[in-house]
Amino acid sequence: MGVFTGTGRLLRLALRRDRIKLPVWILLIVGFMGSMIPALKEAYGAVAEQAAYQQLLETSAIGRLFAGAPTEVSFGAVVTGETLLYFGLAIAFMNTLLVIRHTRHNEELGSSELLQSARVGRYAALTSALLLALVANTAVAVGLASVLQGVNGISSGEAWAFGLGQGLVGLSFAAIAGVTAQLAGASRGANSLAAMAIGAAFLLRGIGDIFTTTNQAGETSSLWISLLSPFGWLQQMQPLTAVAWWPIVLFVLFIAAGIGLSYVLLAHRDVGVGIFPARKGRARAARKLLAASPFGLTLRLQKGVFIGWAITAGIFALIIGGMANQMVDLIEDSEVMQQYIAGLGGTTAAVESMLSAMLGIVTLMIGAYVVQGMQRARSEETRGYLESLLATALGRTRWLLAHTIVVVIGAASIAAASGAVVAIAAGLAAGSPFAEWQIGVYTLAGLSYVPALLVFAGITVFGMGIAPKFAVGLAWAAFAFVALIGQFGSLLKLPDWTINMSPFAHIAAAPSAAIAWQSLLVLTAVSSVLLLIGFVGFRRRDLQTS
Amino acid sequence: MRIVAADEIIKIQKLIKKFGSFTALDELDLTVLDGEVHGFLGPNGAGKSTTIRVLLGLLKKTSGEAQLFGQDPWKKAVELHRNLAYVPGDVSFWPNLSGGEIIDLLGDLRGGLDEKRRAHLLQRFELDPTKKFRTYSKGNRQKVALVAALASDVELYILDEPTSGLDPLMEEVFQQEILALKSQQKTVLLSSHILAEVEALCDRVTIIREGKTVASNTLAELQKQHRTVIAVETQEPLDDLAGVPGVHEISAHGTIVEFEIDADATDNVIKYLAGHHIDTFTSRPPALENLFLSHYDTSDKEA
Repeated sequence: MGVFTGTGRLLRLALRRDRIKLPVWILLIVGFMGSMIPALKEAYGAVAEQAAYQQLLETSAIGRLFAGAPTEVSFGAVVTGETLLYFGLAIAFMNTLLVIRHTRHNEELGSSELLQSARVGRYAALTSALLLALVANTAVAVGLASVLQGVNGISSGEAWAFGLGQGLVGLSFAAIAGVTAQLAGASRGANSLAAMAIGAAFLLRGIGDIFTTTNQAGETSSLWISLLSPFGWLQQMQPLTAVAWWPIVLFVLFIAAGIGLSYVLLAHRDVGVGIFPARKGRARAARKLLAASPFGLTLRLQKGVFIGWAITAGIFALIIGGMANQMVDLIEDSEVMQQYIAGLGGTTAAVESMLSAMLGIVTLMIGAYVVQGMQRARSEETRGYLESLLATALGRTRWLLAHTIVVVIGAASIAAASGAVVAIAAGLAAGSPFAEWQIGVYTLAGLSYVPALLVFAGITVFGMGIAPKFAVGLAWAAFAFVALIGQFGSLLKLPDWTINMSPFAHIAAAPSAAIAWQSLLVLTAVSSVLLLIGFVGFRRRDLQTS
Repeated sequence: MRIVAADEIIKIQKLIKKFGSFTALDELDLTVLDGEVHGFLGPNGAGKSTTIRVLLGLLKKTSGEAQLFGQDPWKKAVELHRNLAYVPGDVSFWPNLSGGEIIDLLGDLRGGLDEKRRAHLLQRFELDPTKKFRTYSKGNRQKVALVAALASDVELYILDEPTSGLDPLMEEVFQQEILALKSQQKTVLLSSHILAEVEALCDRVTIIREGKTVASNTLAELQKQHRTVIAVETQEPLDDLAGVPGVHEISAHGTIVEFEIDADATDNVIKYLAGHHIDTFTSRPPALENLFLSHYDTSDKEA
């Protein structure tokens, strides 16, 4: 039996298992691109607007961090800035999750052990996962290229270059995930390592774009450090402005090296065990694990999710605060940015207004934390841990309450800290006028978003009580909806009633606007009703068991 | 309403549990007496785990009666659980917690565990408590759940196929530990497929199939309901053997005639054979395997 025996069968199995998940990923990515183009055409159709966009990138470091270095005045350049990196990020995550799901995660479920004892070779699982990634990336590349075909200002070749570049980014991260899947002690660790690699790659490229250099001919280029990142190569392809094909060589070499390394590492480890040794645990439970049961356990289970999102939100708040001055200069020069800020809830182009609007984006991210935290609770049930817990003297309400309280307090503390960090960073960056600003005002502003965040907890708990199988999907759909409205609601010119369905639409952008206490009360009441229905439903229903 | 006698720890009558249109339990009966080890048997999918989950208040019954210590397990789940310890059929715990942490955690949630028993069981089962749960093998995962349950000083132990991953040495340790509990008058509900284990430990057994109770009695009584196999050589031909009441399945192998007899036909058959000059005579009591197979087999209407 060869080491690759059974690859084809495993690939068919993987395609079947992902028959919903992958098409949803691909359709969301391609569909979102399709909906972005008309919106961007409307906002940046004129040359003057396109020029303003490039000027924004020249003056704003934060703009370059997220959109890349300025290139040329054209519609293609705007589309590049607004989509290239974001879609690259999404595709990178699609790939790392996919590869680890079909390799290490399978090993933990025990199914790969079973399969390998049948007629399946040692390399078959990894090979089939990588082939599945190839299928998915090809679909994404073709989909993106098709959507861009015939768009005024983008040539057919450029459209294909865009799709190809994104597909190659996808494969690069599939290869990285192939490596992390062999290294980490478990699939969760493998996913974290892969996510760290994505973050590092994005950051390296971001640093390169923040510190751009301009040559004598007036051309701007990124610092060399960008070229250490697949995202940097994607930018260097300049798919929608001045297509260059040489980065493909870098991509191919990197992907080949990554995949080769995956196989070498795979040959040197046992099934279910990573290259990094598993650490030993405690022989006895620490007092804090048993404290106020089940709160000690809940804190332990929720710790990872909390820390991850707290750091993410903290970094974001730091950047926003630190870049405040540059951004205000820029906004005062750009009508488009003024529109954008107004859409986020800001009123004037003052620093305070800008910071207030940006605080709304940071707190929206905390919404994702709330959903993921509550998802952690739900997964306790689906993984079968809850059955053992509820067979002890622990009641259902107490258990769910512990998770809800830990997540809500976690969200409130991240929100408060984000406000404080924005104020401190802005103060440090700007000197005296900011130093006098009260950190408390911004902390309170951050806290004013808690009722909107509570709605996410309410939706998830409601789902857990009434329709447990759909709880997580429902909560993420709600989050995606709110995020989409917050980011693009005004750009896409959605009707007011749609925008008003987002809890964030009812939070005034403090401190620039006065806190709308009445709205906060209403949001809290809505959340409380959802939570109550969820808790009652959870008490009355069957536990979901294997 | 208390429908149970004082010594009935578990009392289930006409229990029905439906999942949508699927009927998992169909008028199931089960009675477990104080101080007994009760075997709970049945083919896969018969409803053993579902019954246990109703008893634990994890699933809500559709109709019928289910009482634990004379109380409703759905309404009084938290109070009742202080008096019992449970080993689930599919042991899964938090992968990044150590075995020792999980044992302490479950013990604490149950209201404390016996330190001496904890140490004793870890040593008997040769379990390393410092390993993360994800790194344990299947057998060791089961040991974590077993130690956590058996280290608790409670009245009732509900064990759902607790030894399916244990090696024979550990199986032996398990049996000794259950016998120790039995000598302390503890009550055990043991769902199992391992017949030797059932034979060694159980006072009474209940056999279920497709959500219904098909037999419930002591092992000796159950065996009585089944046929003994007789093989004889006689000098005179046994031409009219088929006419003897209680004789079945006659077959000839050379000079040996083999047949089965009902338990209550023994006396008649022996008298009949005695009149035919017996040369050799062997009898096999009903094998436990056959007993269970006849109850498990859905095509067998005799049960």
